[in-house]
Amino acid sequence: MNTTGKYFDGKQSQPQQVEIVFDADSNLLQIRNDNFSISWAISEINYEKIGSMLEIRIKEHSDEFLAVTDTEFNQIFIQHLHNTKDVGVYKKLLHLSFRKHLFIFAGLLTLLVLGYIFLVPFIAEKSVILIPQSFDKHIAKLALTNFGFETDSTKSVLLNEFADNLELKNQIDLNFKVVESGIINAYALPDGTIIVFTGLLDKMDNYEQLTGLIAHEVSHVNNRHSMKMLCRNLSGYIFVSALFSDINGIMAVIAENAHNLNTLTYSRKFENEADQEGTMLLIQNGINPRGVISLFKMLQKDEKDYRNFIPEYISTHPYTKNRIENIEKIIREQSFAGRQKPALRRLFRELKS
Amino acid sequence: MEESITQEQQEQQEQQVPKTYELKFFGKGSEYFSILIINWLLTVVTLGFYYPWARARKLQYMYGATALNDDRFAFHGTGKEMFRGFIKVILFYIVLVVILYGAVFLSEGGQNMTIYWTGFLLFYALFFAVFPLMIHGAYRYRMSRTSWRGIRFGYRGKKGELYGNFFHWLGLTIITFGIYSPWMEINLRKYLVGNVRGGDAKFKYSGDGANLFLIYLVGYIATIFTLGIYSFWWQKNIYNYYIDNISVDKDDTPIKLKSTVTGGGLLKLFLVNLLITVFTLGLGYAWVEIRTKKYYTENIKLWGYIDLDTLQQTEDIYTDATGEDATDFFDIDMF
Repeated sequence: MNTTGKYFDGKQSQPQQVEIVFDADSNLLQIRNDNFSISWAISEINYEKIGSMLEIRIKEHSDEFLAVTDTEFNQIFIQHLHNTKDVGVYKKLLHLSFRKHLFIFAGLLTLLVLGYIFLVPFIAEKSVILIPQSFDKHIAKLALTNFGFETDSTKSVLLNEFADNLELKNQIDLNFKVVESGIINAYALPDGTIIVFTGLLDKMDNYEQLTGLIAHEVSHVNNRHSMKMLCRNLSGYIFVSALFSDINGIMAVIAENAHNLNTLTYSRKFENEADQEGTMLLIQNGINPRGVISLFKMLQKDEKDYRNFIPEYISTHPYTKNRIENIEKIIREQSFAGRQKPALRRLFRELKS
Repeated sequence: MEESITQEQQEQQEQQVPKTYELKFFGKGSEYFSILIINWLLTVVTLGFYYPWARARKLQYMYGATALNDDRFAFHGTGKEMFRGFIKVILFYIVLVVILYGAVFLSEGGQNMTIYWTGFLLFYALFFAVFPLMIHGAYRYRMSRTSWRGIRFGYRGKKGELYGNFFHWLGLTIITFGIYSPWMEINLRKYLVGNVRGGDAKFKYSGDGANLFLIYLVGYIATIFTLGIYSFWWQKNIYNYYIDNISVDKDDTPIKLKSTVTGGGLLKLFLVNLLITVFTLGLGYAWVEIRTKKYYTENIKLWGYIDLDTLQQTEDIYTDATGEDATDFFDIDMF
């Protein structure tokens, strides 16, 4: 097979028009014009194809090379190279059709998304076991230094006493703190510190509601939800940014946002888990778990103003209505003997005063 | 005798006739997309270790798609070379991180101020100390690994000279609270570009710090007053000031560069790129990059007398990619 091309000798920039003879049988490439004639062993040469241009070099990255623009020749010649010698993984892959490249892309994307959904949370949650409890304490200390609220020591003592009357199945020491603030909320920190704002206490009108809240928050601590969340967020973030920033920045940003959205649903999973285990704790303590429901119903009144605008998927806490339904289901399935707890009632009254 | 004189005259006359030069960019979005996908696949499969090879492939494509008078440029850097540099850069980075975190840790979170600040200063001192080294290495490698018609480019700057100059200019920039920085930029360019060779052709940069200062000043103010719209024209001025002051010289015959990039052109480029990105959810990135490269490349016009058939191979081969990798790692745009 014959064609023409430009030959560069790697010493000067003057191109030399040459005739190229490609002989598949002898596996030789002959390059000649009126002034000279050379032949290259095809087993030695290296090629680079960019668009319609083929560059044949006597060895990889040599300055001496041949440029051919004859598309028919290029196609046959490249095919011959792929058939007769090892051109490397990269060129083999690149030689595939555009459609196959799209297919590779789609396949890889699917695998990564599946890995993200199933593998990352699994590994992250399992890896929590490897993290020592001391690290939880360290994280909690960090969170508390940025907290910036004053604790009410008298009420905190009372709340701790209140919790001492319950069997909470905790593996680490619990430390309750009451904070003077209008915020209607409570937090559980990974080291066993549980913060309850007076805004929430004020809303309560019986001790069963308070036991419900405590059981819920303690379940977060018992399951190391904060640490699981941290591991999950971090590993998910590393996974997403490492694998997607290679392709490009915009894809990485999209993937990161999807990850953030997913994190929210993940925290809903934890809330449900804490609701469920909290309810079980109450039942085991012989406390009427309906206190939790009345607490939720009371909170629901406050929520109504704004929560309805936020779709369930992107709200951190599941709809209170759903949570109530879930708890009622557990209560129906379990039998319990609710007894009055005078000690708790007394402590609750003192807390409220 | 008479005949030879007329021949000389004829040659001289020939030299007076401007030659034609044309820069073209042949890159295609679909081709580049394929490269990115394969790179992605191999990078994921090798847990990231393919990165230097992937980078070499991208550069090879971009250079190979650029043509001067229909002959392509070529980038000869290899993954192996870049991998070696990559490892060195990572090691250096680990040292930096250890110093920084070590300082925070040993000073017990900044309570011991002496240890804290010593660590901090050491961190910055080290980073700045390797900065000229990084630029020097990057230029030497990139130029040596670039060729056109088989003729290698080269960078002949001296490490020691660059060190002296760099800290001299940096000092002036610090003393003047940054006002000197456009002059520093121009001086640095003059040094770097002035030491570039394309075979036996010499590159030269002839800008002036005061002009660049004005471009920055006007650009900054006008961008604020036009709510950002002027930024495209600002960008145009910066790019054109860079290109228009580059010239090439061989045996006292020159080629001059002139950019025809316009503010409107950049605005259009940005808007279309934005649309492509948004409507493809980022998948059109390959096309965006190719369009951008094409616009900037094909708007460089060359004019002059150098006969490009007469370039000679003069520059050494240099295969240490550490500087190249470092500028990539720390995201410093040198070229």
